[in-house]
Amino acid sequence: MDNLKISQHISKRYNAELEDIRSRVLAMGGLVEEQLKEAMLALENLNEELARNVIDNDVKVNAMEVSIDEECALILARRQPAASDLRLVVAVIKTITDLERIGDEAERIARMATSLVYYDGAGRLFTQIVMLGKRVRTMVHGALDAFTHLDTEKAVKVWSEDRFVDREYESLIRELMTYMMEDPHSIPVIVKAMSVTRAIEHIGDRASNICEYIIYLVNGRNVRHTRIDQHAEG
Amino acid sequence: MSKPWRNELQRIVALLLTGILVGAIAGNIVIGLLMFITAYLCWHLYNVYRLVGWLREGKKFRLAETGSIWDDVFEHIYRLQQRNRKRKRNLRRLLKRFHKMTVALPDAIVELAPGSDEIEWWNDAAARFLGFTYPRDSGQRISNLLRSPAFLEYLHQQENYEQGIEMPSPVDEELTLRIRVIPYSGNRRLLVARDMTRMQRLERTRQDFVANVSHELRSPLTVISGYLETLLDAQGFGEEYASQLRSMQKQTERMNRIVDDLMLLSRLETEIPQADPEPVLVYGLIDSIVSQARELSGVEEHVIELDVDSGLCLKGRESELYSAFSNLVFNAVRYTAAGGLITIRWKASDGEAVFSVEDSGVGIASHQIPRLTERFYRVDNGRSRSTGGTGLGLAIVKHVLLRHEGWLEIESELDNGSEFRCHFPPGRCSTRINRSVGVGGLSQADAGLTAELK
Repeated sequence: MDNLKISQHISKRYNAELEDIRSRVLAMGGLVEEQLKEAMLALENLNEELARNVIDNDVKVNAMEVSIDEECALILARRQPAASDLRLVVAVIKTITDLERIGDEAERIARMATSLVYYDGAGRLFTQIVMLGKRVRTMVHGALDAFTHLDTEKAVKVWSEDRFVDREYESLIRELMTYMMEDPHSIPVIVKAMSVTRAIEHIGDRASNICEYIIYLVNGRNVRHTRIDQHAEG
Repeated sequence: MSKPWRNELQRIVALLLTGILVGAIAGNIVIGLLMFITAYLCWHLYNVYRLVGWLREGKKFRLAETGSIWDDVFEHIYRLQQRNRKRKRNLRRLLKRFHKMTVALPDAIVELAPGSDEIEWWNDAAARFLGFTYPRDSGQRISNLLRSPAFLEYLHQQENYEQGIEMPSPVDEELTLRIRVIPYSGNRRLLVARDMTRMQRLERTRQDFVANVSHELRSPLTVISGYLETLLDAQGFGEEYASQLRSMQKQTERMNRIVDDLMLLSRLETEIPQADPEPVLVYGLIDSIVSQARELSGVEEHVIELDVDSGLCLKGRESELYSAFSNLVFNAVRYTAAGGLITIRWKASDGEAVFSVEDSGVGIASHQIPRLTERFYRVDNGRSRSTGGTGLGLAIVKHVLLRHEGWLEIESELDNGSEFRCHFPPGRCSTRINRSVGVGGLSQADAGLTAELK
């Protein structure tokens, strides 16, 4: 980790700029995390008002992405960073795209929650989905923590978590399908539940993407489209 | 002159005399003098050498006495040295004690570097509650570790740290922390986090209890009041029983109202306020409240005056605002003698919107004003019950205002009437819309009102 020290530039302003974009990415991550949390809460309690809040707040996430993106472009143009600084800027640009997508998925979950409010007993169906949501939320949290500390070990751990999420996703879908077969009246609700599950699974993928960028940022190695056992040693 | 100096002077004189004497015997006074002066100088140099060596060695031991002014010098340095050592020891002990104290504190304390968000120091509780680990997080910006948007907003607003915020701990969702930032010594900041989990759980239990109890009370009450009504309609009783039944019915109605108010209150406490509320035309609300108030006033015929800006709207939930405003107006009717004057105002002043109800009633003693918004607080036990209040009205007003970012101001004097003012921030007032709405309706409906419309 020692090969990546941001605070070693002669220009203090440059350091501050790099530190700033890092902080802003993490702030954006915090907002996305909150959005995800509230969307899941809205789904769990079928709370329409909370869901509307999430939908309204998605604008903020988008605005943050745009402004961080611009900031990164400015740094690239003005400072022409090299080595680890360049990797930082590149990782940031990629990370915010994924964060924004996670925000979109959270918004989708919230939208589903608003439309599910009117179905009686829909809440009971969601206990497992909510559990999966919690798991994915800890993944996002972990990925952001790894980004804060530039901790590849943690990143690898979060990254490998995605396999479990995928497996759980598949079994959930299978279960929902049996519900559909048992009771055709429930199909409209279950279809919505499925799309929520899909959204959650996507969030897991995004979180593991962020972990890949962290590994790239710290080690300078690209681990995308590879398997976990190849990096177990970090 | 002190003793060592006198000794030294005597020694110099003696040496000089000996020098001159030896020189005179040898035949050259100058040579003799020079010899002795050189010897004297060497002796001094030797002492300086000893002093330097002693200082370098660490000054642990005392230097041997020489019986000259050097003893004085050695003694003073030694004493200074001892004093410093003692002071340092005390300081170290104090620091250790202080450190132990902060470790023992149940609250998390984090010190931020001057003028930035970087973490400089934290205590053990901070490691526990906020998950900071040494040395990884030293120098890290706190905003990178605590990323909740509400916290970031609070941290970066720079001016109003007093209130603090509540948020779940980043380590454990179940842990609720109350975080406060305290600026000190120029541009430094201290962050204090307290574990509020127990308090919050207690509060939630209380809220659930009230909500459940009022819900459970409701159905038996409905049954009782239904039967009472049938019994009263049956007319098979003598006048004696009928009056008792009527009084029973009155009491059940009162109980019903209390249960309703309790349920409203628990809803106000637990529900999340609307994110983007619609503007409510307060004028319309006041209109219907006034007609109800006249009904309540009945034969007592209070004079109700209006001073209302008909176009001024308030963003919020209509039903909540209605209960708050109506509670204030009905209170005014209840506590004002027959024929008394009640003035209702709804205006914008200094950007904020103010709804106020002024009456010429009994007034409230100043020491009771702070407790007025407590549940079931009664200024005068006998009276309010006979006038049909539930004891929850002002608590409801307070909660509704809280949800609309407003605050309640109460001005009153015993026997001299009172004024209740609800202040709403500028962000809550909205531009005036169609002014003619409802204006005609009011003036026709109630000729006794003087509505000043602008």
